[in-house]
Amino acid sequence: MAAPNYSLLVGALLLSAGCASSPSSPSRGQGGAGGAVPTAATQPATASTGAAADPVSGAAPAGGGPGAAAEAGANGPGQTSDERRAAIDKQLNDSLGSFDAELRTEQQRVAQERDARRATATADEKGADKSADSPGTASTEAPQEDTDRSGVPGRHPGRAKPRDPSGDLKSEKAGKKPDDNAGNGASAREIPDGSDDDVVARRLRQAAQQETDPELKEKLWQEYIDYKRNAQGK
Amino acid sequence: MRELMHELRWARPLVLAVAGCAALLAAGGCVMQESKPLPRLNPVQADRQIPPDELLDVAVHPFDPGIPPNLDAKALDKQRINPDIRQAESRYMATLLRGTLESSGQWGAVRVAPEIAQSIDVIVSGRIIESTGAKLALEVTVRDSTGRVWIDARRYQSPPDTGAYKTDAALKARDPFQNVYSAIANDMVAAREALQAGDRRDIRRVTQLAFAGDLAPAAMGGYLAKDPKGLVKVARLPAADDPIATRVERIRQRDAGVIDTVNGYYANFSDQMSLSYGQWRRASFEEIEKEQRALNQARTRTYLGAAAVLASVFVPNQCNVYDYNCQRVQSAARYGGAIGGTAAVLSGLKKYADAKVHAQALKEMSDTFQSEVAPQVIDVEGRTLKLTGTAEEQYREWRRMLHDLYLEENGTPVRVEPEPAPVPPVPVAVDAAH
Repeated sequence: MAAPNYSLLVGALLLSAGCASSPSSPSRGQGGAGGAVPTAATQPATASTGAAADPVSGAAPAGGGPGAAAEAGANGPGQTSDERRAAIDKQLNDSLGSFDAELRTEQQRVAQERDARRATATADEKGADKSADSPGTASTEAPQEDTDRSGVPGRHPGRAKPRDPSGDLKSEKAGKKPDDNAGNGASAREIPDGSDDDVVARRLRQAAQQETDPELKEKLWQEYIDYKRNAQGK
Repeated sequence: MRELMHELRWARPLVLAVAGCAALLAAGGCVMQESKPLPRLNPVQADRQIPPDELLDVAVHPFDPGIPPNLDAKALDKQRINPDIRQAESRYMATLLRGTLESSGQWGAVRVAPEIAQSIDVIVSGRIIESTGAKLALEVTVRDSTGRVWIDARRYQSPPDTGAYKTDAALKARDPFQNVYSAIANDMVAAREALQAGDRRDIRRVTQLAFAGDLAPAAMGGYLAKDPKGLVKVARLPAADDPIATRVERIRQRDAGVIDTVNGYYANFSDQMSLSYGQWRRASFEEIEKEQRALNQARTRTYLGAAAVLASVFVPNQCNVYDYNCQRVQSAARYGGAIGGTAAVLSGLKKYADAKVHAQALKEMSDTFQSEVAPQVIDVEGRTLKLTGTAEEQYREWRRMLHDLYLEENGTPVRVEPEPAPVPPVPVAVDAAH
């Protein structure tokens, strides 16, 4: 009753041996190029290499997922059209991902340069303001925060979303909302990360961020930094 | 007394000639050209929400610096063309125009992009015809992605708004030639308003399909055609769920990222040179004004002085031979005219020398500013070339992948190559900007 069904076992072994030995050519593309290999015949081979058994439906593994199927497709012996497509899609995704990373790095560098320049310019302006005898009309003609170089306030009624005129580039520092201190008089100092702020610190930070008077803003940031330093010292 | 007056009547022409010359001389020396503040022209602001599918993106290419190729340094100096400054201005002015367009709220993304960036809805290119602190003249061409020319090599020029030269803060607040940029921006809006809404939507579609056709010619190449006027139009549209179109769109987002980054380079560059360039322009304006004034005075004094000398020598004798009083007056007038004329000519020559001093001062200032700005131009152009070069390399790779995918999806299996090692960026020649 419990005797093994040898004929079935042998048949299965023969079948698997036959499948495994068929596309042994080292040239990866030739298996596919030789014609459309039936999917059913190649699926066991894919599974045997450890790839995901689910058929890859041509959709790219978003964000460059594990992609084992693609690797098998690229290097393994048997390739369906879906596998080849998945392999190319993975390459494309990987390539887009690494390009994104390069671009992000470059954009951050650009944004940091811009932030540094603006911080210097703000500091220079402050110095100039202090040393100036009489600002005269200059102060009235000085650009406002959201007035661009054309002297026109940044109203954008024609646009669905307003864009950053300097190129939509944000440095990592500028990108994080709590650390967005560029050009507000606080960038020359190290502003602590606001993630562990208590109620008082949060209120101080908020006040500093919202203050428009540069001198008062400076003092509020100093208050905030001092408070944080004391709080951490406890 | 009456007798004397009667006698002098004969000498009147000579006296009048000399007195007239003296008066003109005095007037010529004192006349100064007062530059009135210009009325300010601002870009027309959008007063309504523009539908997203009609909101056109704009690329402003760095302007042609307009340096005549066959002129030597001396001739360039004479025309007040400083090649390095022009190179910087070509990028700076494009950035200012970008800012003006951006501030109007009439457009989508407005970017300064290198000339290789062609798949953008509206492209602005320009040439600097004249640029000093005292005058700016540009020639601007605007066209859209269908090939329609909006503005055809139109010349825009203006004297400066001298109010902007008063202080550094004023310089920073508003460019002295902002009117030029505002005029270009307003003409662009007028040209766009002349189009039907359908035309504007077509421009966006053509841009998208042109990019797709360039990236995946086999899959996306047949969607555009040319009409009898030579304008590109949409022949058919890809399916909404076309996988190749979806992938191309993802790549297009990267392309926009590259353009954004390059735009960031130019924005930083312009920020960096802005103050010193403004100061140089102000100094240039002052020196040019002084030089011009000195030249005018020199010319007037020389001509009138010469005329006075000639008048005193060649005006015929008006007095009776025996009329000694008249002859004395005439002789005095002649001497006076000759001496005054000679003095005027000498004064004119001195003014010419003054004008030369101002021209020399301007040249020295320009040389100093050139040496400051030239490395910045090389830097920004080097970075731009490096990034666009890397991107081009990447696009080539993506083109191949898209082609392979297209073949796969159409039942033509392709051989999948292993991923190549990343190609190091090609070093950029330091004189690439030139």
